[in-house]
Amino acid sequence: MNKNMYGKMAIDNIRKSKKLYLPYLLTIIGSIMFFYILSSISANNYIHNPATNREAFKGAEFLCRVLRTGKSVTALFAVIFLFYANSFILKNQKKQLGLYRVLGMERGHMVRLLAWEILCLYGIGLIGGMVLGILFDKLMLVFLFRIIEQKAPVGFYFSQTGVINSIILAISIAIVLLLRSTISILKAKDIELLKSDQTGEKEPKNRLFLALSGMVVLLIGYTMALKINNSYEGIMNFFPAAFMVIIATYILFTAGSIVVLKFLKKRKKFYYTTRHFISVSGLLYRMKQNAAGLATICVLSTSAVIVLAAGASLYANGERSIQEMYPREVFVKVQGDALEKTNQIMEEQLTSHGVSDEENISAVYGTGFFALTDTGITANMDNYFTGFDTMPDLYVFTLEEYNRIYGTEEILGEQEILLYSSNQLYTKDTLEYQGVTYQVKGRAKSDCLDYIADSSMSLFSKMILVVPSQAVYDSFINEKEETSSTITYVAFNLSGSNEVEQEFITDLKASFEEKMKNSDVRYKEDERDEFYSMYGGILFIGIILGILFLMSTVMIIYYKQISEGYDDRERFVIMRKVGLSQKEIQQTIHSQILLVFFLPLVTAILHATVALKIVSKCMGMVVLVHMPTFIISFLVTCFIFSVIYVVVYKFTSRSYYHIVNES
Amino acid sequence: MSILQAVNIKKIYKSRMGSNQIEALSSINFSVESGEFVAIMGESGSGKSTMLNILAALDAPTSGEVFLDGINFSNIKEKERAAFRRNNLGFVFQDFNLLDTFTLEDNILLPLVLSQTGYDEMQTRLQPIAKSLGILEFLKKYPYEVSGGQKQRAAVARALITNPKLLLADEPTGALDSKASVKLLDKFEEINQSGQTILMVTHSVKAASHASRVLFIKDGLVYHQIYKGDSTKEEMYKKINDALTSMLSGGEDCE
Repeated sequence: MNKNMYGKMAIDNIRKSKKLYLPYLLTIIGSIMFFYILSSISANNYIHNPATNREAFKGAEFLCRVLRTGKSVTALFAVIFLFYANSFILKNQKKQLGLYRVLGMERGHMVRLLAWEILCLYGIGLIGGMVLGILFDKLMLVFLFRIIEQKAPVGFYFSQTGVINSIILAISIAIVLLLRSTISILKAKDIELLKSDQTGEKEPKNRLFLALSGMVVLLIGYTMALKINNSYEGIMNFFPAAFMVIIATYILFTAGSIVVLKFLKKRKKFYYTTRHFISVSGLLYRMKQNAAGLATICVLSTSAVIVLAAGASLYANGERSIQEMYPREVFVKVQGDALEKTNQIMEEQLTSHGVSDEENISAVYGTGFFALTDTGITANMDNYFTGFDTMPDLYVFTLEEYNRIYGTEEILGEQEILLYSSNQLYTKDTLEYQGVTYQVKGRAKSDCLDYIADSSMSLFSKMILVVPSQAVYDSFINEKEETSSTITYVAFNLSGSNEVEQEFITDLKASFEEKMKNSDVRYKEDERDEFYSMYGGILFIGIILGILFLMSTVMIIYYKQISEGYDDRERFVIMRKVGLSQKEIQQTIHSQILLVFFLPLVTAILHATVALKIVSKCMGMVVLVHMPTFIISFLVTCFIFSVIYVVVYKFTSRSYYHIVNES
Repeated sequence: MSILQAVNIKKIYKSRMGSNQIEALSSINFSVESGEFVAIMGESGSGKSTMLNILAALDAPTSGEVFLDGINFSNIKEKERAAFRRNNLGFVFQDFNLLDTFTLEDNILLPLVLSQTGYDEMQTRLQPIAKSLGILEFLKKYPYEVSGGQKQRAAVARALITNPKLLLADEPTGALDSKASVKLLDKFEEINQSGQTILMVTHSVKAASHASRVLFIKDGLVYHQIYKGDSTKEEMYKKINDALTSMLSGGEDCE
């Protein structure tokens, strides 16, 4: 016997069932390609060299970390999708192996055949994926650098790490799949192998209770997503809500669809019409077999839409976020009441570099941890992690400082204050603190918040207190305790060439570091670089994951279409004999597939719409979310996603028609 | 009055390259009178199935014409062909061709649903047919839950529910055991006696012996025919057997 018979058989099998293997192979190639690209870029020494810790730009190290995480996520999803695709292939292989078995092939031989098949597929997939990866690596790098607004490095780059990583990934997936197929083949009885595609179809059971509980779970999930007030609740509720919606999606697709269809079937006058008769009964079976697959498509689509919309809005909103965080080109933050000294250090550096400051703003204020009580505030910290609603960010200004900043001449009595609170947090006329009751005389101007670079963003509600004297101020802000402190803040624009500015910043930083403790000097240009590498990197990963999700969705839809095509073909042959015209057959097929394949898309968009609020709140934890931008990004993403979905549907339904109409 | 007329039917299959031509039917001529029960016999490869497909308007002849109740098949447009088939012809197949996504009831009602009959009308038609075929109690079952004989009777009910002018049966007993076969053939005779015209293609001498006339096809031609006349089933059985024997030996001479 020819030694390499199994290899030849395997190649033959793959070549003959192109329809079955090609999408699988393309998925392997695509996964390897993206994996290679991400490993290559994240390990690129030009961007960040771990040995010398040299960054090509500010935030490059962080970018590499984001990319490495993205790489792992890609690998994880690649495993899941390939597992899924493999189960379609396995179903087909079993039937064929059943025949070989009847012809006298031993199980050991079958496993060898399977091994060869997997070897071929993953060999081709690995090589194809790496070749494409190496080719597109540069393109993706340029794309990434465009997103993060950096100049891309010149030259071609071949990543050893990428190659090694890809090989390891492909081999591990291949081994896992081979194990799984082997177990499945060894466990199956011969007759099952032969008839694995025609096991008797029982009418699905009506599981009303399960469907109802699915509905309840969905509503709970939706409520959890909608009934949140701040970022903290958002983060806390996000995973439980997502989990519930995912569970509910699976339950409703499986049990809910059957309940609805059964109900329709019971309505005789509705059911016994040409249009509904075949569709309803066909769907009843189709849903039973495909509900899980469709629910998976739905969940994947939802994640793709959310990830892309979030990434796009972060990115689109970049300039605005930077503007909010850095109202001036430079800011200096120093601990303690040190406006004079700060100004002095600044002036020294300004003069020595020959640049001048413009639109200088400054403020000295106190901030600390306070909690709201029924009648006022307290320095109590007990509820720090649970009471987000009652934990405002409090900023205290003396009247003198307030008047200096705004150029006003407000006068306050001994126990009078000016107050501002965001989100209608505190609306009472009096404020009690440490046993003293202060009268709220008026509303404090809030735009001094703009002067305060605030890292916690919209996470907390904000309160501004303007107190009449230094003594009252000291009762709020006590330097000795660690819970509160006074901060001096100076921000200004620079006039000068870029290079001079850069030098000035370097010296300014050094000077402050030397002369003041706990100082923080920031330069907007640097921060912008960091910002873009952070959010650009996230968007980049979002796009790659989005493409990967889409690719898998396409693959799942494709396999659904062809596996159903084969199942339906016989049915339609019979119907033709009974007297259904070709046109009527096409119409029935059309309405059936349309419903089945657009149900996940519609549900996904619904899920994503409900998730808008909670996602925006979660994003608010780390970045300022501009709702209009977010909603526009969402709509655009939904639109693009739907268009691609429709194109995929059109494309794959052609192969379905082709199969069904083959006589 | 003849309900079905086949005039000079010829069917030639071309191989894919077009170089090889296979003549499945060379020239078939026969007619079926209203109320007749005609069986068509022939070896495999004699062109029986081709002919049945042509009579069922599923396939078109290379030349020649088929008339059903005076209507020429070739004059029917492709669009109307399905409706024509549905309203005028009933089919019973060897492998039942029931849809396993439907109960027996829904399978039987399928042609009526396709011709948009009202639900009440469907039920009035279904009841007597199901009763006479003895499948009333299985109506709510699925095909995979009942026996072959019950499946085939459901298929007969599906064929009859449109009150077709002609019932076409393709090896209806082919997948049944002998007991179920006899039961089905008795049903066919019963239906025939109530006025239904039946055309049945079969291998089985036993099945054919139930018919009032048997046509023998060989090499794409109607080779011989036997009328039952007043003879009993047993006599008919013997006549058919004799005819087949002489046909077979004649066939060997030819080759």
